Amino acid sequence: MAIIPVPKPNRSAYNPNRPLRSNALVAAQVQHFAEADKNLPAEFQTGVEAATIQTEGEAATYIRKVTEAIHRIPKVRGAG
Amino acid sequence: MSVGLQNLQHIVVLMMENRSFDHMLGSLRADDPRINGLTGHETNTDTTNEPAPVLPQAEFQSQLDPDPDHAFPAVHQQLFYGTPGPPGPPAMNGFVQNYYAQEKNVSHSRKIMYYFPESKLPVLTTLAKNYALFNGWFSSIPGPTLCNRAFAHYGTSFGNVGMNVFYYSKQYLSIYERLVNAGHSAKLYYFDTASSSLEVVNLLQNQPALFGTYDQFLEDCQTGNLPEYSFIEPNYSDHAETDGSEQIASDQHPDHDVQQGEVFISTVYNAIRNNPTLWKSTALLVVYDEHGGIFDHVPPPSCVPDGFSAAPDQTQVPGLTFLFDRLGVRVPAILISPWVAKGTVVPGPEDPVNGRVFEHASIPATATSYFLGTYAARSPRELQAKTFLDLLTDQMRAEDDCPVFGS
Repeated sequence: MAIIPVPKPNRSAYNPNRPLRSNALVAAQVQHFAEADKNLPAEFQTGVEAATIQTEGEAATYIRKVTEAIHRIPKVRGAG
Repeated sequence: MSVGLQNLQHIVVLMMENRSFDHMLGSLRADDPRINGLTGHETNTDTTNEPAPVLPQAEFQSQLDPDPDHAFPAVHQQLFYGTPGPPGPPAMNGFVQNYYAQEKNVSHSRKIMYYFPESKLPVLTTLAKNYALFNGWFSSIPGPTLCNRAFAHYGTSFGNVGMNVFYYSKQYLSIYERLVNAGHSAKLYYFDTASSSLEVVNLLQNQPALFGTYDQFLEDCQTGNLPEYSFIEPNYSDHAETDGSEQIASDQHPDHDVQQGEVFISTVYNAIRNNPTLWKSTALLVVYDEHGGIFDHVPPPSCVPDGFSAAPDQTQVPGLTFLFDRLGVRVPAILISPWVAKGTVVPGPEDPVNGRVFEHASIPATATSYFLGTYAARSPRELQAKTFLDLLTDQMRAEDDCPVFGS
């Protein structure tokens, strides 16, 4: 069978400055990561005020920090 | 048990975001009348009382901006506009009305009826035509992402109809915990740490070892280390990697680029397809979490109640208590395996004799049934949910009968 080509989007599709208010999912994700951030041991908390996050790119930077902090915590939580 | 089922060692689920069946695959009816897509005559009434028809004019990006409302009260209007409301049947006539509320622009509101011609979605339509396409796979709740995704992980949303989902350590375990506790392997693969998981307040912060990245998924496919059960989350945001490279969101959530989602689906498929050992022992389900406010013509059916209720202060629909006894809007769902007969169309509610209705609780129901057998501690919805591994046959298709996508 012939290989089926898969067109890629234009680079103009990339917009990390897209306002968070236009994507309810990422906005909710930021709120949930703020909850998780608060639950981290003090030395792992990011200190970022989630309410200041305005764009998808900023959200991703914050989410990366919290995710990496979660994975750095010693495995004291159940099977984690 | 079929030979395909005897060979099955891995179930992989890829859950995309916010597109309805008709929007993505409705065009396929033109060539195959078994597919319950669009005739081209479906309409909704716009706010000037004119019919807004379905049209094959969907674009990859910038058309559904702002993000169409798909919170519970919005979906309620999309389903029941012009009717007395539940328990009567949905008329599916409120999509344009509802989208109008966001921009107050009649022309823009009619775009909620647009669908993709087959030629614009070569990956999804190729998979739909080559493997098993479900005519009757519905989102679990007429509401937004997180309560719907909860059904894929837990077989229930624990009474939630919205985006605030805090249910770790409640009465039903996630499918991952069930499997790991029984000595099986399971993993959620998020795209990268900047996109991460939608399960952060539940599984990620409590069970981080259950998670891996998409790069790890690709490596696990290549090295033969894929767990028995895998769930893949696409990239939810446009963001820069730490090395400065640009990542375009691949979840297809409006207003993210649909083509990048096509690329992502093809890489997941190819990762399995290109490892012969994995290919013959894996079933891949590609499914969307909910419709994202976009038109579909099939009224969601009723279902067994889930044992929970959402009061009017939660549904945000005056006087409406929701008993989790009817499903959300229909979404694309395709089961992929060389053991699936080419061109399988699984009939849905349009076939009152042979039709079967699936929803996201079918995912943990299938994985639990296959890997664990009898397992009582599940939600009423999951216990009643249809499973789908009977679609694996005795005949493995030839190598050149299964498509491959370019990289």
